[in-house]
Amino acid sequence: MILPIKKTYLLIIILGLISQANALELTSQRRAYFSTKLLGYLQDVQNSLGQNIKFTIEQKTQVNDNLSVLTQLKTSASSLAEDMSGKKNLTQDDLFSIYPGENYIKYKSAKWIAQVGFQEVVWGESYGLNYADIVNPKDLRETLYTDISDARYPLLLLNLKRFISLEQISGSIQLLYSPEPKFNKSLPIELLSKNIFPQSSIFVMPESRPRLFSQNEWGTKLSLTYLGYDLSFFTYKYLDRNPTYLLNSANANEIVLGENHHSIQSYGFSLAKTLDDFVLRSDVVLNQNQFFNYIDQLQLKEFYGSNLNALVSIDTPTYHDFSGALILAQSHLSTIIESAFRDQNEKYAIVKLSKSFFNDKSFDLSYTREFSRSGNSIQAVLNYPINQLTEIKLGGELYSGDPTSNFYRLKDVSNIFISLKNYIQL
Amino acid sequence: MKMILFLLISGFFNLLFALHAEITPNEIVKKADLKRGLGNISHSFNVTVTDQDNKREVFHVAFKDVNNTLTEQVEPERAKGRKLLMKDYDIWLFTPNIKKALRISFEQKLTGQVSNGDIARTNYAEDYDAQLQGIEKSNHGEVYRLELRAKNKKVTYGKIEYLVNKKDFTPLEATFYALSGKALKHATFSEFKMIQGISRSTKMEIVDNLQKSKFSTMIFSDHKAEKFNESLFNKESLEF
Repeated sequence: MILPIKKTYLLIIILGLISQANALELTSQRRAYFSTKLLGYLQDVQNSLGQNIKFTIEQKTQVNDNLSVLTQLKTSASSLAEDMSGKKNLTQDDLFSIYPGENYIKYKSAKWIAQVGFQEVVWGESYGLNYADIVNPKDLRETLYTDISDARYPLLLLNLKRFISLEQISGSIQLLYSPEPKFNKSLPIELLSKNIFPQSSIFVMPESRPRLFSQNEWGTKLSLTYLGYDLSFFTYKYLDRNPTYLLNSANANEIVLGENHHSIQSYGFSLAKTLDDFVLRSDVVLNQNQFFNYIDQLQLKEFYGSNLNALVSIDTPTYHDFSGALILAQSHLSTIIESAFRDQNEKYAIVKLSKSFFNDKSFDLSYTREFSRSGNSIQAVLNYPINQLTEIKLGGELYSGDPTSNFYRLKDVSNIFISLKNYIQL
Repeated sequence: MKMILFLLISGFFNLLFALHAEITPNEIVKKADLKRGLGNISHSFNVTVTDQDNKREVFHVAFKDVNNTLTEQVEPERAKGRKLLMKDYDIWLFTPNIKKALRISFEQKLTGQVSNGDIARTNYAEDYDAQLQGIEKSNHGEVYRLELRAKNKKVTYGKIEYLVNKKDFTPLEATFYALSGKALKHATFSEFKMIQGISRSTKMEIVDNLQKSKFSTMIFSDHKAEKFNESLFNKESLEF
């Protein structure tokens, strides 16, 4: 948690009370959704069945024409960490968490927007693989194909946006300030490092989260729409959401790792353009001084370099209810060390196909190819809304490839699933 | 004196007939556009779309002018909050789960047989050049048969065959074609009601050209003159 838990709950209660009190006089909307997912693992893991349950409740209160308040509370229960083999050092947070979702006060005028509180800010033009989505930490246990909004953790932010409108140009300038960084939640380290430390149990000592105002994060984004082009330029200085690890202690059976989150600065550029009925998208992000792990004489060490991530994609028009997208992505490190935990160049291609039927139902197929180490992942999902409030998803996801590939490391997560999401009108 | 009066009156009517006879195809389309919406007046309205299975979706539309339209989905609950912004020939979709505005194309289906452009960009006179193919007799009396060709490749359809009542410029039917020339769907306009002093269509039924059993009905309601801030039609405000 980025705040001590009592303070977080206090914040929710205070905002909730404000919203509720105002709701007596003012326009307010309350809604909630409940989702549950049952997974059947395709590999031999500790538990053959897994589950993931989420509940979100929110209230929007309009104080006046300019001022509004959003209050959101989320809970999440996931058995994934427990289900994967070799996991012994579970914390309560690995299994169940209750946390503030987006909780903010918004002031909106004709030319300005100011938001203060816990928020999600999403940059970039692409979807499926979004290198530019750098602001919010995420729950990376959610695997490659989860709805990203479920995986994103709100960040305490001051978010200012000034709209621009100059004849044919429209856009905005955005300023972000966060007084308190927050980190990604990852899959169990054993799962990712199984082929590196095959004989030992691994325990991770998480880096304690910085105190309020002890580490500040800053960012800005300029967005422009001109002559059919969407362009944006952005930068963000922050603590790396992913950790690197250093060895704290080790014996024959047990390895204890310490987490580090180093400061990095990202510079990025995004573009989108309609070409007839096709849509071209591109995101390019340079992460300066990003740290990575490598092994030197059985010692876990760190090195750093600039990491350039670039993506280009094209969405096809709909033809006989079929639509598709092709995404090509590359991540390039300026320097590399032998036995590093990643390659200097990592290239991916993603093909997405979607067929809609009966108006609101669809079948989506995604295939991702990891070129550098021959990894594959595939997901098929049938989206089947059954009424105004409820949707069912049936599907499966499969990870495979060369044992050194990133996708092979996720092979234990391969599963078939059924999920149900129910929206509740309050 | 009577003769002069007669000449004046007959001259006046001749002039009227001549003017009517010389109305250009584009003017016919402009007049018919006014029977399908409030023209270029800043206003809001609701659109209820139902399909062949009686599934219902409701959208609220903020219409600033022909080049600035913001559509927000109101029903069903699971799709609430989806927004579609049209600005000139650009169109973006915001969905609450993705939390950012993504550029899309007009051709993409919004729901059922309804394309994004069917709600967001409905002024044919703005986007198409009309040619009069002839005047035909139908159940509605004499009708203009028009062929509307896209002024550029950015619009929703490559071609529209359009039937407009000759008497009062009421739009009757339209067949929509892709840029490739393929017939996509057929629409009929009906349920004309007096809105802001003009009889306007409040119902549009769209039938798939290949599978006639697939159709969508759009009901337009709650038209209200309303002023909007320019920033409402800025892509960057969709997330707020």
